[in-house]
Amino acid sequence: MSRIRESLVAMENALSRRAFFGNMIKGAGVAAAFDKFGPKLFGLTDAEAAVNNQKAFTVFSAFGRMVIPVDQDPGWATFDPGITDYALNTYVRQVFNLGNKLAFDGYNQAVVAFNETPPVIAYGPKFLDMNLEAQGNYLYNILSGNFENDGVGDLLSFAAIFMLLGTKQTFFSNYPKHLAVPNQEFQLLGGNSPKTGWDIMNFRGPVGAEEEKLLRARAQGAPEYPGVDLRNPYI
Amino acid sequence: MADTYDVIIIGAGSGGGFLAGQIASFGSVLILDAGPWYSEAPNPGTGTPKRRKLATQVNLGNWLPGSTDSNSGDLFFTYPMYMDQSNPFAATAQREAKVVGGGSFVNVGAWLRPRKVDFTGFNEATGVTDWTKQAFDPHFRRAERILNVHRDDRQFWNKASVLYERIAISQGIPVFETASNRKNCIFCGHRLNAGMPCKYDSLMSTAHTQIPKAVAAGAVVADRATVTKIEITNGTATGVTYVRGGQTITANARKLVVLSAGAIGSPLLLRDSGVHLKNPTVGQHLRAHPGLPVDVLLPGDDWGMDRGYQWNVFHHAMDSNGNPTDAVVHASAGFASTTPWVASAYKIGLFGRPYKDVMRQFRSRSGAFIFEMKPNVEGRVTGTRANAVINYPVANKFGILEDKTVKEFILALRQITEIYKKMGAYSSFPNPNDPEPVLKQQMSLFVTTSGALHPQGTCRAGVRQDNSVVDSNLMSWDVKNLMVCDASVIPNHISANPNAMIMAVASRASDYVNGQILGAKSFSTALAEMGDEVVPQ
Repeated sequence: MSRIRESLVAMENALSRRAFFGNMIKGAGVAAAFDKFGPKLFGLTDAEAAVNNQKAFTVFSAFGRMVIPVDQDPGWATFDPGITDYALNTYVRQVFNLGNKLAFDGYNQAVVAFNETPPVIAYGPKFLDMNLEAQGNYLYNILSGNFENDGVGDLLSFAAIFMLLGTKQTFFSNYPKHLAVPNQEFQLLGGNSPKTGWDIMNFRGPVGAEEEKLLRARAQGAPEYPGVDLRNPYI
Repeated sequence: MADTYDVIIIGAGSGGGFLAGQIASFGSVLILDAGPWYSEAPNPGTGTPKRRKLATQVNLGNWLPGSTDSNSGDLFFTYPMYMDQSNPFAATAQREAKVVGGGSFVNVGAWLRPRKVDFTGFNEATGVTDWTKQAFDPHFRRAERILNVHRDDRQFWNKASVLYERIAISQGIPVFETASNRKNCIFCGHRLNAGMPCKYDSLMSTAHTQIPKAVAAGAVVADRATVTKIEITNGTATGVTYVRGGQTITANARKLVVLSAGAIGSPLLLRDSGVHLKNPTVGQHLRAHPGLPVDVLLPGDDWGMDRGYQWNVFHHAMDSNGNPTDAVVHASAGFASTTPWVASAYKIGLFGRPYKDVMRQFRSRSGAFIFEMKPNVEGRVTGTRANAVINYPVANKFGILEDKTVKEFILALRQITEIYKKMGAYSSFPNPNDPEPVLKQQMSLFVTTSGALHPQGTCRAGVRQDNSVVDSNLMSWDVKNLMVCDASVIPNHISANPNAMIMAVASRASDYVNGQILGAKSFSTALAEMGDEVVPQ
């Protein structure tokens, strides 16, 4: 087992459900604060935010490559840059931020801080300049709360959790197979090789035309029992 | 389009939509809704081209590339809701349906009647004496007939539901079948996926039933119409101003304006119309149902859980005396097993090969939803429609859920886990054997990040103006010719998803409107001729 794998397993053990949600709550606080105060909080103009978001793209991509490695199965790198573009600019933007540009800029600012903070606090080189093993250790230290005394713990934890969620959700949503095709009745797309998420796990995915016919035939004449369950003495 | 109607209904969801179908034969009706109307004739079991496309492209797993706003676009309002007093910056996004058919079109498929004790609670909360089980039972039956409410044969349940029922009963826990308002369902398993309509048109919403009936009787539907104000002249509701297609339009109501914008939207519109200045109860007494998902990992892959939720059975968590608590368990809901939420619960490798191997091995997982039906929490809705603020302080200043909810969640959790253990479950989350402080924290964080389910009570019905917004017939205390008809009028917590109750409320209101306002002296006869159930006044 590589040292990065050891780091990730140790991180996973340290990352209790409680810490997981706790970090999300902190993240929600960061997002809410950014939403309220906008660029004034971080001093970003629109042009600066655009540059920042490009930097975030690079960091997000590197993060995905670290946590979803190419092993016997394909990983994040197999699908880049498309998967990073979708994860960050479509999925994260819509799911995490409900389409709110200010909040999205705020998330990206946290991602950039994730990259640039190590030299600022004398931890080491920037995330992008670290080798894989060092990146794994950095993530482990963040999630273990080892930067709380540096005053940047919440921000780094938030960025890390946010990127964990974004990369994981996208990869195991079967990217790119889950992308809806406008106005298409059946959203099953043809061959997607190499496989991602659901395919790796052998999930069947959405109902397609043929299965729909089978289900309809099976349901034909299904018995129905009218009304609610009147055995319920409490209603 | 005429500009004067007997009745104008604001909101075509469970309340307004159902009401429209019952009254449109007896007067001219304008139905306004802020969302779109997918008006093709219903085709249950197959679907229609537009609604099939809609259903495949708005659910939480599919995103159209290039779309910019998933949740506050065509189908939802999104409001900030503050639930955690320990973290005042953190607001959850409370989504409310914005489409003709409302929540009944987008999501609701489980049909659950309230408990007897709920009707007692109505009286205790506001003094209403005619909100009784006896008074409402015929209206439930009427709605159940119209919406094809039924239960399914066990051959169409998933295996986990069948086993769960057997084991729970063997442990002395009364378990009941969950009814659903569907027609010609093909059991694809997606009917209760969050926030998506049925691709096959099987979900019998008001958009499939009552609204087409209203239109056939002459009602006019104006969709994508954003109501800005109820027009009130000399204390009487005289019309409604709305924006549609960039134009501001005022329609006049000869006899009645019905506000059916939901438990969040209705108090906001009353505030936008100034009614809260006459009645401070507007927007107060927000009730909701904190919900806690429980995930379990089952061995094997033949549980039939791989197509989404299957809410076939439910039960109450039972106390040590064998009495039902206010925690209700909806069992054997299959969960999307690929989310970080679930993965992180099992303390397995989150990434790379170890994670992939575990997911291959345990493709089937099951779970349950616990709802606390009567928490000791009241919230409020303030602000305006454009800038709403919703407070539902379910977590205290230490970030922990109120005591009753915690206690009953833990009781339910223990009972659920025992049942799943007997089914062979390897693991469950939350784990009832975790230290109680950890459990409390986990449950609190889950609830406060998930939003408040089933909001109700913000324009509640009562017998006095100083503790309610409408009288027991849903007529405003403060504005003549103004009725409120949706979840907001429910006087106190009910022990179920409020969809069935809302429609029963609307059915009862329709008899009042037809008999007392539209002057349909022979409306009972007319209803009988239409095949409707005649409900005694």
